[in-house]
Amino acid sequence: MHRRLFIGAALLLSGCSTIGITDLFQDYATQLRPVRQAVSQNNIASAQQLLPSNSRGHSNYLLNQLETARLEFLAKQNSQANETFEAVYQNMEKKRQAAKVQLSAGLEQTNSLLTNDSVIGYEPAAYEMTMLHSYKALSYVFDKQLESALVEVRRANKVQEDALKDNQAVLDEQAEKAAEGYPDIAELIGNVKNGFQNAFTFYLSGLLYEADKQFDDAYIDYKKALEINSENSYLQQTVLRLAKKQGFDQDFEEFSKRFGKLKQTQANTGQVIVIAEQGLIPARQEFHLRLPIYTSRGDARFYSIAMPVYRDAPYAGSDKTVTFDGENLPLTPIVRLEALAAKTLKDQSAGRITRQVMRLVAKEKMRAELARSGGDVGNILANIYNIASEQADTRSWSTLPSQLSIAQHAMPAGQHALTVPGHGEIDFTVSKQGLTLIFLTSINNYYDTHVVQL
Amino acid sequence: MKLLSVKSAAAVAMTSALLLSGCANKAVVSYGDAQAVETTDINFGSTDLQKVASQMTDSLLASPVVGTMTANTRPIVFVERIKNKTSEHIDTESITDSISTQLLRSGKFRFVDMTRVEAVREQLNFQNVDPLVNPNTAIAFGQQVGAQYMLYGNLSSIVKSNADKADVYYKFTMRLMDLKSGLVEWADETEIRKTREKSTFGW
Repeated sequence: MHRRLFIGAALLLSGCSTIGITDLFQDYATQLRPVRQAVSQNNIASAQQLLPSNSRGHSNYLLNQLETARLEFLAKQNSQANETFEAVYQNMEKKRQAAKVQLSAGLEQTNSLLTNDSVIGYEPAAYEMTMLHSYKALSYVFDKQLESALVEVRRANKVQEDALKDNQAVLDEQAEKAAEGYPDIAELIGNVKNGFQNAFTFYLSGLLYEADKQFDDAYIDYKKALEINSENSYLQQTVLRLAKKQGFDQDFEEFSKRFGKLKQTQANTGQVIVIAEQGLIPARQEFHLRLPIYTSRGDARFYSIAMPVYRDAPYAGSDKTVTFDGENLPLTPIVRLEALAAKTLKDQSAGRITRQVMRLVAKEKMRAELARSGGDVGNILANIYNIASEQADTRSWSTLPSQLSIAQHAMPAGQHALTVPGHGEIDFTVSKQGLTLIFLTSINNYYDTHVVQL
Repeated sequence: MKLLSVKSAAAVAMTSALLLSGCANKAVVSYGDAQAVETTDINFGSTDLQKVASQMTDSLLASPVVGTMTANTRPIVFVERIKNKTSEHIDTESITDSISTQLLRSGKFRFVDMTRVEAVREQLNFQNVDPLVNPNTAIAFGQQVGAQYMLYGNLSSIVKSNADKADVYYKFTMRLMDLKSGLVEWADETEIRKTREKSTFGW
């Protein structure tokens, strides 16, 4: 009877095809390794070919679409990338509107007891959704469609708001601690928010609102970015500049005290903004424990535990400065996506451990049953299956950059050149009181630039 | 024992069948009423578009100022655009198309179409420059009339959601400006609120 149930379970897994056979025995990060290698070797076309394409019912479908869209973005296929990103967004919207108790979700959880966590449908984390909207916004900006870019900005802000709501408890706890005698509450809250909010998205949103001459909206979003990342000197200057421009005198005074004086700019100048994507986000790695446990009768039983971890050191690339017409300026990180990814993993770990324990019990039940009905062969087969199918859930958007950095400089109207060490010059035009955006992507050997006058 | 295994086999078969039927799709194509109320999801849809367009046209035509304006002449209007300030990609040109079509139908206004200026220029260039065209039939440059009024507006939204429901509020504002004096001769707004409550159980 149990063998039949087992066959039934196998049918069930393949019937609705939540995962493929490869996914059962190979974790996501391992599958994606060749793709990541191809990207760092500046071979996007081959990366696109190497990326497995998953069907709509696959548990990794949304993740797969994110990777596809990112590769399209890197290959400068903007409109295609936008379509793919939009499909992911629409899917997520549907999920958000789905019933509170979903039978299919329960089924996935049950399936995960007999296989591994990868059968649970992947839902992009908040930081991944903010990046999705940021890339869409950037694509629209590259195509000079500011109004559509602003739609994406508003969607991204909604994601951030929801993330804030979800983490309100953590913030409250920190605020309470702060009340007990921590020195600077603003600083502290900023550090906590750093874990789940994306300062880059707020910065981009501020920039695009500024380009649309909605200076109040721009100021609000710049301020939110500054709250998350208060060390970035360019951001400090930007907030000061807008506080002055919009006449927020009280804010201006307070920020001047905290961050120093606003650098004066001439009327004939425009702002040049460099946003640089650097490196490739670390992949989750598998932490595997194989436990041979002997019973009182001396029979060996093999149990396997697998958890995802991050092992890589933080990003330490050499691309730390850019040169504006001979003037060297540092590139300052605005968001470290690797940190956001690590925080997400940490938040998920409680559920993961619970499922791991339940899975250990379920698999042992299955083994015992097969050993009883199938003798030694059944026992061995079950042991092999248990070990081989235990894979850590290493799924996460793996073609994102490690971090994003910015540099900003006021320059007189006219022609100028930006020098990126090791990559030559980029020519650009500055208009009076205008904004010029230079977007750089450098992932090991991959290097690409976009210049847009906003 | 045998009875039991037959039973269990049947149970497995039934669960599998149930599950598989969940994946199967049957597509049905049918025609519906284009004016029917559409509530597929909470996003901006055809009903909202129709509601906004017809309310705006009615309000504009019923306005006393417009009544005196159109008493003896048919003013020439150009549609600037509706600025999309929502968090959805909405084809606002489709809204302005509906409004301008309904206004034209009323016979009280005339329109110049700014979206086709390039095409007109290309055609006139062809008529005047290309030797294929008989110069006597070519339309000379510089004969089009200028618009007297500009129609423009904003569409903004507020979206809120929690675990139980989602709520979206749209506000559509429209204005008619006299291009000579810069005075706004007419303005109106219309609001739409949509709420969606989540079901408790689902597949």
